[in-house]
Amino acid sequence: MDEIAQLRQTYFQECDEVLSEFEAHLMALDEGRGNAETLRAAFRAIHSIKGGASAFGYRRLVNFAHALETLLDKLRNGSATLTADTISLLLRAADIVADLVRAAQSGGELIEKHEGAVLDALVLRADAGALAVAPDAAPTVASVNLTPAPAGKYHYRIAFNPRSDLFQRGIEPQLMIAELRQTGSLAVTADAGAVPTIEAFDPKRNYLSWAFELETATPSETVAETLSFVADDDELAILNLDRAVGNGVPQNPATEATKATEDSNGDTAAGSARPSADIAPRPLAGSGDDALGIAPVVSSIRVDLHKLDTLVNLVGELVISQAMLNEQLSLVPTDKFPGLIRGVQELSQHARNLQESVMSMRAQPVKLVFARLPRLVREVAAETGKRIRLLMIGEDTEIDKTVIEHLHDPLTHMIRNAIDHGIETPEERATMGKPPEGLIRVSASHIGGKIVIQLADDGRGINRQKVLARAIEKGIVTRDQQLNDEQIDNLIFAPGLSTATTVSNISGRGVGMDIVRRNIQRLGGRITIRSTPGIESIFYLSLPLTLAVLDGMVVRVGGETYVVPLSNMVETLRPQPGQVRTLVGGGDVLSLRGEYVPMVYLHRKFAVSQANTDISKALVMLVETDASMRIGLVVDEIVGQQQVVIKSLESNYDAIHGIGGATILGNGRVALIVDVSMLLTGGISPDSPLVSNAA
Amino acid sequence: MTKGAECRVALPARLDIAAIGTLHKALLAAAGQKKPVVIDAEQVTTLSTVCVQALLAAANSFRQRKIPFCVARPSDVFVTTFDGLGLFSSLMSWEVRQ
Repeated sequence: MDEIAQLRQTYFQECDEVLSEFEAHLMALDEGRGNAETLRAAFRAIHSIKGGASAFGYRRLVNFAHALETLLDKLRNGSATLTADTISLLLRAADIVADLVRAAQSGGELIEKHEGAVLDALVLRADAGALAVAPDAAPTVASVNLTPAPAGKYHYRIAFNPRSDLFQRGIEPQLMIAELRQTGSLAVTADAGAVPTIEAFDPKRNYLSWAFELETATPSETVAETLSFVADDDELAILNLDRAVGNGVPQNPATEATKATEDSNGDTAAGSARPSADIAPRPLAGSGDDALGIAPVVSSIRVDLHKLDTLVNLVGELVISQAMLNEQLSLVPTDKFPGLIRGVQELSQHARNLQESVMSMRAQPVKLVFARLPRLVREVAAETGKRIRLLMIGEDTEIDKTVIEHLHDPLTHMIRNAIDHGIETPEERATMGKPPEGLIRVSASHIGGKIVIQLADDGRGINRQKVLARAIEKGIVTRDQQLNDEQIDNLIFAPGLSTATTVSNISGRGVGMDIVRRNIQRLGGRITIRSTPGIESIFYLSLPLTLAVLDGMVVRVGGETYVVPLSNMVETLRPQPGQVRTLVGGGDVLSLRGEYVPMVYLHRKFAVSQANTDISKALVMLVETDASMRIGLVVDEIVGQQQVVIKSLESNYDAIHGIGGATILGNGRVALIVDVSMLLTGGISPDSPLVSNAA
Repeated sequence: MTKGAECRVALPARLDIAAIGTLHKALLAAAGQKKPVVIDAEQVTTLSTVCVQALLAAANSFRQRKIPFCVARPSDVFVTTFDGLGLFSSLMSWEVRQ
């Protein structure tokens, strides 16, 4: 990848992060947790996106970001008022920015005027200035303590000596200069003395520096802030000459000494691009009571995900090789070569530790998913006319990137359902003695080597009578089936089951929760629900910490070895005489506790020779598919439980129906990982009638 | 680019960061010729600072090698960008041909 492409990729990655932060700032302001610094941070976020867009020539994005930035600027300096409507507008604007960024990244073009309506609204709102809030209008956001712009003029001398990596950081000085011009009267002098000849010129490096003389009514904190996110402290020196005029504002005594020194040295600095030694570095902009605590320094570097995936893969290979070594070592008598045995044991430990460390590099906090929930709750609550409080716990719980990417859709659907069906309207809640505001609690924690996410609401709970009646009506269960409360609650995951009397655009079509469960199970996870009518409903999602390794049961079929994911397994048994019946259309079923479970003979499915064909000597593993169907896998022998490193079959060979991947066991042999959900395809239909009793 | 007695470098409309590679090569080639150089800036509608630097570097080479050079028909954007960056005096030290 060439340098420019690399810079562009970094820019787009940063846009994602910055937009996420921008939205978080807006939600903080909406919930009354924000202050002037929050607004300034929101401004900086959009400003940095605009800067990079300009450097790469993304005109539409620049224009839109500029309009958004203008409104944010007015909000931060107090010339526009922040209301709930303004927050809604800013959130819509954030979506447009995300659309424009995606279009720029993909090289596509959005339809003309895609951003037109929101752009017009931003301009109108910015032009309107301070808005009067009508008495019965939406409640304003908790008042934000904005630093008022003082009267009078200030004169600054600014020395900007950017480092050579200025352009690699995506900074275009012209934008910064344009920003300064907007604050007042600006004189710019550049020093091009360091520019070499074209033969020695490195296009990636910056060779220029600047000196600015700025006369403005803007206080120094705002000027410093405008410059702070494009320039680090070591690149910038701001001298506030502080010629406040017109209102008798006393001069800042802190700058008196500096000014005197400058005068006595006769160093005009003006016209000189290099900072005078007398110019003290500017202090970091603080905002008095609004200043946030200084966060501890955290050092990190950005690493290409592909490189990390390669590392994870290599460590997986190392673990496999180490397992093979262990296997061979088990053949060596323990009293011989004790040093070798000890060495290999230590190697095993180091390999495991290395694997854990490497996996943790790819782990990300669930905060990345949870961060989108407040906005979702806000929007769905507004659509349904309900009041919801969202509580998030355990946001720093980490989970592999491969799993986290799949979490957003299930959580979104469950929250929509909880608000639409679960939580009552404020009036209903009042009659039940509940607070008018419903509560949704989302928590994440590590339990038993898995990540467990709970989503609870204090709504009306599951109406079991209605669910059972609908399930019987749809043929999902029969009238005479005896189900306990938990089993009835979990019927909501059945396809086509919705007890909603109306279909809203939020939920009610009956196709959501079964897909949620299927997607969770595809990740090797589980989802269940527990409900107390009138009180609460709690969903429990249990997911593996990573998709790179799998806990499986190693089984033997003939001369071949397979791995069955533990997350699919229910129980194993040896069938008794008469338990196996043969259907008219072909295929066997296992009679088990009043149910008939289709059987799949792995040796037939995968054409394995020399396998046991005598069912009385075989083992049946009862497994559950994605669609919550149970099937009985017939195998010769269970070898043992093991954690295996998953290798993709598609990337190394080709897709095989019924096989979800492969692994290499300690004995060096390849074992195929069974994809339980695919085994029934083309096989026995559960609707096939029973026929004769087979042996 | 080279035509007769002079070496002409026609600047494209967009001189953003993506164009720096091509611009750098063109200016290097021009500096390697022993002919007067004409930088045609009529079409320029976008000029990034990184490309302004390249032009300054090229001018340094031309001066060092005593190669006559000029900027022909600079667009408004070309001139205002130099001015905005505080480099108007640098531009005015070059020959400008309308």
